[in-house]
Amino acid sequence: MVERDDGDARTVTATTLERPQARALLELDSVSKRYESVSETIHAVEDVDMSVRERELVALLGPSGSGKTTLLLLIAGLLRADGGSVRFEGRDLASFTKSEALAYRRTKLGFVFQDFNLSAGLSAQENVCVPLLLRGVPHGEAHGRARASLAQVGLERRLTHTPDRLSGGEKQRVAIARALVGEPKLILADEATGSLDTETGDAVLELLAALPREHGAAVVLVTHDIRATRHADRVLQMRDGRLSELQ
Amino acid sequence: MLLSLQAISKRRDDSATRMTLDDVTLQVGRGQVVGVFGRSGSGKTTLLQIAAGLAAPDSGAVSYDGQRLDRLSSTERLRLRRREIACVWGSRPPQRGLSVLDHVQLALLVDHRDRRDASRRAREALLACEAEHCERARLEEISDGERQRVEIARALTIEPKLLLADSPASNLSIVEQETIMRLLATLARDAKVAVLITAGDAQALIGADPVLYLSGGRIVDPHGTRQGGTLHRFPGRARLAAADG
Amino acid sequence: MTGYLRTLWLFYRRHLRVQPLRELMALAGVAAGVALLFAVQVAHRSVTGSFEDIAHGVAGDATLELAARGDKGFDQKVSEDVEKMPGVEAAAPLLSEQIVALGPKGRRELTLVGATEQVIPLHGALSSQFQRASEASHKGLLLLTEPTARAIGVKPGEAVTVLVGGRTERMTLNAALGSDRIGVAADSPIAAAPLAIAQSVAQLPGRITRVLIEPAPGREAALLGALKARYGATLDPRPVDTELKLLAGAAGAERQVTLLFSVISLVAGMILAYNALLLASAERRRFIVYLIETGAPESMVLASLGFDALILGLAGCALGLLAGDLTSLLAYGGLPGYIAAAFPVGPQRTITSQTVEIALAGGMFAALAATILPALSILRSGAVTQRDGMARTLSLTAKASASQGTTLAAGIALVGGSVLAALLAPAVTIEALVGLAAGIVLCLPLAARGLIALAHAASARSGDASARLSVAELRTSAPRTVALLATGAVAAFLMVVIGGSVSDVQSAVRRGAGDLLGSADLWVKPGGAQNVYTTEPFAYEKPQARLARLQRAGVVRSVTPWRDSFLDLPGRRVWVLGPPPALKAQIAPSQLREGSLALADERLREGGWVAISQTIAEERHVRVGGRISLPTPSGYVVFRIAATTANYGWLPGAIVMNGDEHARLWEGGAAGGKRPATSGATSGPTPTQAQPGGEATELAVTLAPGVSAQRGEQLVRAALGPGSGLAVQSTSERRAEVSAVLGSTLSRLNAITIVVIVTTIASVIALMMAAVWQGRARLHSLISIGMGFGQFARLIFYESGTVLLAGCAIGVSAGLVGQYLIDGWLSHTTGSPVHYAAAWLLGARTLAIALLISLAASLAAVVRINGSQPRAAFSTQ
Repeated sequence: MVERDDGDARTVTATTLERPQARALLELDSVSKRYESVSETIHAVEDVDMSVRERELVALLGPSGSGKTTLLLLIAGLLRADGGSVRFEGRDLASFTKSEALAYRRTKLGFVFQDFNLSAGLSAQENVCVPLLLRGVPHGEAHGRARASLAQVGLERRLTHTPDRLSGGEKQRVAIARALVGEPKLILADEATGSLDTETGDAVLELLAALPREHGAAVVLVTHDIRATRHADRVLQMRDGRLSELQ
Repeated sequence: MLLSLQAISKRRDDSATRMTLDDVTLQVGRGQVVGVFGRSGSGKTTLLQIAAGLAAPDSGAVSYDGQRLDRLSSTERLRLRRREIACVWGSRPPQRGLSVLDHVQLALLVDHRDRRDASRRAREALLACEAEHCERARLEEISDGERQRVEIARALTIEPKLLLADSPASNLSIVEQETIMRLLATLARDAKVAVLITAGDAQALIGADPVLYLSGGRIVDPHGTRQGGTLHRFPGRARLAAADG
Repeated sequence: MTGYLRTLWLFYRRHLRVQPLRELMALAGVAAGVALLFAVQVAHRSVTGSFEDIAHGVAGDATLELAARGDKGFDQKVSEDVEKMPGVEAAAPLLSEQIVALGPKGRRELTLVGATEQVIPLHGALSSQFQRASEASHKGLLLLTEPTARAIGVKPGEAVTVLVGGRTERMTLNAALGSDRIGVAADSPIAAAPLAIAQSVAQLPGRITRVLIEPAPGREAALLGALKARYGATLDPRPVDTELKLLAGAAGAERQVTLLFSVISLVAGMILAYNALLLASAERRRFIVYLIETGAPESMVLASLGFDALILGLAGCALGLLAGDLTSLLAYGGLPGYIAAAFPVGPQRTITSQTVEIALAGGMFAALAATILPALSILRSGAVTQRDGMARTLSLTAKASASQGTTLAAGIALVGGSVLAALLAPAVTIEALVGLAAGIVLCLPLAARGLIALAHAASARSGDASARLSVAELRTSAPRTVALLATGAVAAFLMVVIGGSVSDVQSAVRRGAGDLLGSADLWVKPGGAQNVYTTEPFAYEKPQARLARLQRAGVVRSVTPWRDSFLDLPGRRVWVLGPPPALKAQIAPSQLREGSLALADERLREGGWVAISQTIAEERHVRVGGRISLPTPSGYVVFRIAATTANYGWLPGAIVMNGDEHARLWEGGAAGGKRPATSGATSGPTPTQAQPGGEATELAVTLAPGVSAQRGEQLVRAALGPGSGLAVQSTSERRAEVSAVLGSTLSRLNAITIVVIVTTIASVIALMMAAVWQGRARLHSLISIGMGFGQFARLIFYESGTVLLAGCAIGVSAGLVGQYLIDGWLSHTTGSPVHYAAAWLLGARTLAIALLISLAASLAAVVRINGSQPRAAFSTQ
């Protein structure tokens, strides 16, 4: 195992060598999404093929306006594709009923946002409870699971702190705990380190990188910074709505 | 030395036990680019606020151009901020509702300078920072990289003697970081501006000399905190624990 | 300088761009306040209308007058005698008569003024105009104003039908004068003709009702004394502006009401604007920090805040005046106010420069007040995180800030003190209401905290994730919570207070009218709605004879005459009621204040006794059983007081006396008038025999059993014939007319306040949508992590809708208290008993409306967020 600390090369770790061949969790086939405006048609996502296997960390690089957000919304089922299909565990998202789509987001997905999106009036523990409460999990059980989830990200001493008393890195860790608490299959991390300084950001990235191995969840890491890709199993690049794989 | 901070100490508020800044001394001369790096919470922003005259230290002395900054009246400090001391704040949410040009020329406008003159200088500064195409756009519409260049153009517009930059290149790609640092270095060298710049990461401070490490409110030896590399179950956690401790 | 202003304008434009909805809401608040203030001021001034101009336009240099006490007037020779008196420079006789002018297009109730060329030397602007017009044209004898001529559809040279005193006459229109010649008088209900013609039309040959007198310089006081000595027994010598003062007195209470509404509307506008600005203050604060970091001097920061206030004020005033003009236009439908019954005041709206000035001043004040508190809080919070020389100056205002506990204490003290003050001293009710409103506003922040604590407890018990999330959100956005509470409270308060008080007064009016009108099935009177107090006399011999036929046919059971009039006492024009002695209930039971009803009725039937309003009794320091001397056309007569009453819906006061006695004193005193039954005789009820001869001001008709009011009305109208000039109304129609006319000012005000209600509702919805939109990142993230539509809708409703409802509940409660206070004040100022019917129904309706609005607003917000792609949670990079 080699470690280089100039930040540009990928760090090769044990995980890359040990992982068995997993089946495809998420598959996108020729997916397109267009926006019509008065003057022009914008091809936000153009003919994208993509797959994410179980327990895989895929980094999605691209500058702003490249269509990354649209792609995330498509994967989450919050947007319907104009062309092609988005399949999760073999099922086409387009075939989901409303309640199935809701269940998909609640039970299979986890989100980590750039701006954390924590509820300012809730404590860390309560914030982590939210996805469970939305599902209808009883209070007591939700609180217990939230505590466990926070312990896993090292914040068992911050249970009662509200976001204004947490540092940026701690807030993002709460967000990760929230994403994990529902035991999702796929975690969508949208510029997870965008609001953090380099050192804290690196720590959060390492946390995310360990998720496939520790929790069995695949991670799609959307970022604009190439340095963040050193933990990724695969790096995809998005430009003007088109996706390509970086070697 | 244009800017001189002597034994600066500052507590965040009266109840805080930890010092935000503890006996910090540094100097910046004309044509010099001094870099300070440290984690978030290490006191970098406070340091710059004190240097800009926006905050007063609990103890110690801040001198600008031979004058004690904390002894000046607020009117005079305002004047300095309009004419001589430029601040570039890093990862702040952009001021909404203003066009790039308005934002860049604002210091001149509040200084009652001629409007046409202000616009001209603003445009020149934007050109120098390769951000002239953003002129009409809103601040919240441009990309992070463009915004940082706009901030520097804004600082250039007033033709400052001292430039204080707080993590101006955070969240930017390596390429963009280098562009920013190059701009600042050119500024220091050609216009003899004194530049004090902070960052979260020493690697961002390309071209700065000296580079100081701020940790726990103190300037420490930059080589004293590296940890070993044994892998834990949660490598991230170990790293953070080390940082916390 | 222009550069500086342009920079300030740049800042303001930025505010608009960043928070357009909130800035617009503030604007709407100020505009609504200004609009209301303007419309209410118009109502205020239109009560008395252009009467002042007319009075001066006719009187000219005359400073004294000799006025008749009754409608019969007095001998014209008196004028000639007066002219010859020492100290008289000039004198002119006048005759006034109430007429209805009919044309092909419509009808108008007018005051016909007959004058001779003797009026010219008095140099009255109006008189000379009329005189010139009648000399210039010889097409006819009648002069009308242009708006009147247009309304009835008659041109000069064409015939006008004139209804007067129960008769029909025909006259030819000579000329119609417009505002270009007679100014604002063109809007007034006046007509003119040569004196002889007017006397002929009124069937008062050789009689006049006024002599205008111009005294020689320095001789006024002496002349007045001489006139009193000579004519004081049966006529009223007095200064020529006496009628103006009487009008002001009659309109006084109504003006008080409009003043109250002015204050309420301005306060409401201020609160709305303040709310909006409070919400905008966080963003403003960020901008101020930005300015200071850029190096802007403190003066510029203050100038920017002041500039914002200025723009808000100017734009708010401009918009408000436009809206106010439109509102008052819509609210004025040609129905006369009750004042028009006693004074020649038209139903048109009067706008003076003062109206505009007051509205503008109010608007600028509202804008300033609304801006200042948020501005202070911005400056106080210290623009910088650290204490600094600069911040030290700014934080001087921090020393002025009170702690939360003090604010609450002040609020409670204000509320309690105001209520107590209004209860103990009704005269200060207006000030007390302002104090009440201010106190509630001060208590709101703590009320918000209480609400949140309650919500927290409730949500903890329920398993609803939306509930828990919404409570957290409420806690963190305190300004928004308070703003929603305040807005809801203001709207609900206004609806209950105004709706409730207006309804209470209208009930009081209806009750008073109901008592009086319950004694017959049909009512016959001359004139129209303006003659709501039935003071226009007509000879009733012929109508009575015609109705006798119906009596014989078994349709009509009885026809009895009422004799009412207006009487000028010092300082007030009172309404004299003269019910027929045959009527058992002389005094309306609801109006009785002191005295035994049965005994008083009996005494009134006897004659020699009167019932007077409490207000008159208090002024004269007399009580039941005491004596009062009244100036009648037959001279001063002393009566004994049988009872004291309320005001019978005529605010200056009323006097009830035996109808026959009234006729004798009023008609009998005039030479050549017929003498009906003598007073003093105890006349038993004669239901089928009406009094022979004489004049009445109204006929009360009771129908035979089995005859419906509708059929009876038809038959009576037919029997009287089309040329009678008399109107026939059923009791319910009469009641409605009385209610409408007497309540017209209040109805107008009620309509006007719809403006504030609508604005409040609009601003509430805008507020909610803006707040929801601003927090859409959070909401989108919730949708992403699995919040369903139902949960989402509930979340929005809990966060905003429930707060609004709570605010409305507070407003309704405060409104019910406010209504009670206002009713007390109205009773006090009008002298009419206004009973507090707690507007529970109205309150419940208000809450129901509030619920609907919250649901609708929540739904709108939900649809907006749900309809858009949930992008806000995601990065822009």
